[in-house]
Amino acid sequence: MKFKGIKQISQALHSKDISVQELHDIYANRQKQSAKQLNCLINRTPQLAQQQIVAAQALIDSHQGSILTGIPLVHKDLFCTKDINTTCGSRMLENFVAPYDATIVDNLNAVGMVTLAKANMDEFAMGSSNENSYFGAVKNPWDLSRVSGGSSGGSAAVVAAGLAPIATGSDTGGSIRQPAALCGITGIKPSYGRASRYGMVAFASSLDQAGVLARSAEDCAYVLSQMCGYDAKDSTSAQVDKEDFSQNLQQSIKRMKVGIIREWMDGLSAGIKAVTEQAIQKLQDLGAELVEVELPTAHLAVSAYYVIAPAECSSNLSRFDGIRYGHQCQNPKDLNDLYVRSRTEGFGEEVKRRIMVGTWALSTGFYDAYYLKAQKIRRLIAEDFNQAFAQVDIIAAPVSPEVAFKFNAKKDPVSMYQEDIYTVPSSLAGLPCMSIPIGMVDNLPVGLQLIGHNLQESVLLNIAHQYQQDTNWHSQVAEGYHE
Amino acid sequence: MSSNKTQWETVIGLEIHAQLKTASKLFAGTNTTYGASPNSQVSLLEAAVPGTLPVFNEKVLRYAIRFGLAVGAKVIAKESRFDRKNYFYPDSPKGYQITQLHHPIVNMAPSP
Repeated sequence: MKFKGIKQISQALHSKDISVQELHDIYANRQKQSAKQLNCLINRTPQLAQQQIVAAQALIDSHQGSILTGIPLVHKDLFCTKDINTTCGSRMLENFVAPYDATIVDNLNAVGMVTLAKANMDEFAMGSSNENSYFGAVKNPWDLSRVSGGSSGGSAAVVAAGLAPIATGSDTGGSIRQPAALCGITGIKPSYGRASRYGMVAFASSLDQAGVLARSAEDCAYVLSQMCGYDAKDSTSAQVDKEDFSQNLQQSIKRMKVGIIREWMDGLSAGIKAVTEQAIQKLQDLGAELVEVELPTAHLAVSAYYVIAPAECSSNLSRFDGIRYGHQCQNPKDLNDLYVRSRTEGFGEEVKRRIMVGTWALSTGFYDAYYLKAQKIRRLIAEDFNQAFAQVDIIAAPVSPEVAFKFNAKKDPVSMYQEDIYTVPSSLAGLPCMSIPIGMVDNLPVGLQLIGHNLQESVLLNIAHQYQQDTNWHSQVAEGYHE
Repeated sequence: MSSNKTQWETVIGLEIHAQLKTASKLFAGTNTTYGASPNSQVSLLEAAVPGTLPVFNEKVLRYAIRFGLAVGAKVIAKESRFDRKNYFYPDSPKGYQITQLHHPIVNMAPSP
């Protein structure tokens, strides 16, 4: 059951081969066995799960359930969950109990999904290795001496190790795609505005998007369809009709035009390049046509991103001042001391680095030189994508320049930022994008990134599903986690 | 300062605060009833609870445009933006004020 798709699990639930409780217990036992070793969870939520199990079983028994009813999931710990700790991987919010549910949590609760736990993550979603969590790094199920990727590293490890079939994640500059790639699973970030940001603790508001990590594109499609939709509580929410992203999965991809960025391919190491070319060849075998496209401004994306994201974070994180909630220092001698020590103690090193970079970039006199310039680059990159999508339906590209690396391998922050070179361009343009597993290098998983035009999630999921119908990489499980 | 007073011109700027007669707040649906009991008109947003988001009050936009027309503003912006003024202070739970610096709804200055 652990590695079966949602459709099969749901059939078993609806035909009474298994109860919601029994299904839950399978995953709960897995979590007891492996969660500590992987360090992929921050808090388990047994009381909430128990209530939801009863409600889900009642829905199924009265034939009102949907395909997602009773399916267990884990939420990344930056989605507010009512009356449950929402830590954001930070000491600052270690004891913060959210007084409400995020809209996406609400949407998934509404169909009777069962919440098992809150997943570990880089502090405030800042990081590409999950080493920035106050609760410790997540280990990669494929090799426990290596990182899971970040910032949704806990979510990715949970799904890869079969501790839940589904995990939610968030992606600001690659935080779903990169850990999905490094852990050998499937992950999708929808277009900016598709999923409500209400109740998701803000990192960089103009980039943050919620998404799904699962074993297959098909499972991503089911959950994403339920998660997304216009929300009046988020003014940047896209005013488009709710869509069933699973509708087009079976379509043939014959004559679909797939864009390739030659420059990106040529920059890859030999191993990853070979695997990526194989995957692209497979798309061609399935009938897709390859077209070379160019993104002339994309090489500036990392620089622009590491101005914009810190700038927004420096403002978004100013509410954590130790006054109303969150970490408060002991015996402050005055107000300033309260602010300074609460924040110094409550935030980790990378968060503080970004707050300082962002504050500086926004300060009077530097605004035009940094923030404004970065915004201009952002617009040019979006324009590059527009040009490309005039010629192709989707773009196929690498996710990460390397496979999962060893802990402490990237002590220089700039070398860590370079991990995001292939993921931030589509983030800056607000485009839907996903990662699917396509092979192994040195016994570690490699992902392929698919980037779609705005609101074209169903095209992405269609091509990903067709690839997965013909290949088995998404069914691979790391040694030691089969049973 | 120079002793020659004629070299100086006095310019006086006025900062005028006006409270709009709206049923709810500028960025939240909470009531603004005068004399209501303490803490009865505050939501998660004003308390700066993580994850909450502002939603602009449409009535305020209408009042702003009416005000602009009333004082003879040359420009009613077709595209307007809000800016954040960041500083730490106990009466500012979010750590910033939401203001309009670069692209206000009403701009009295002639367009450049």
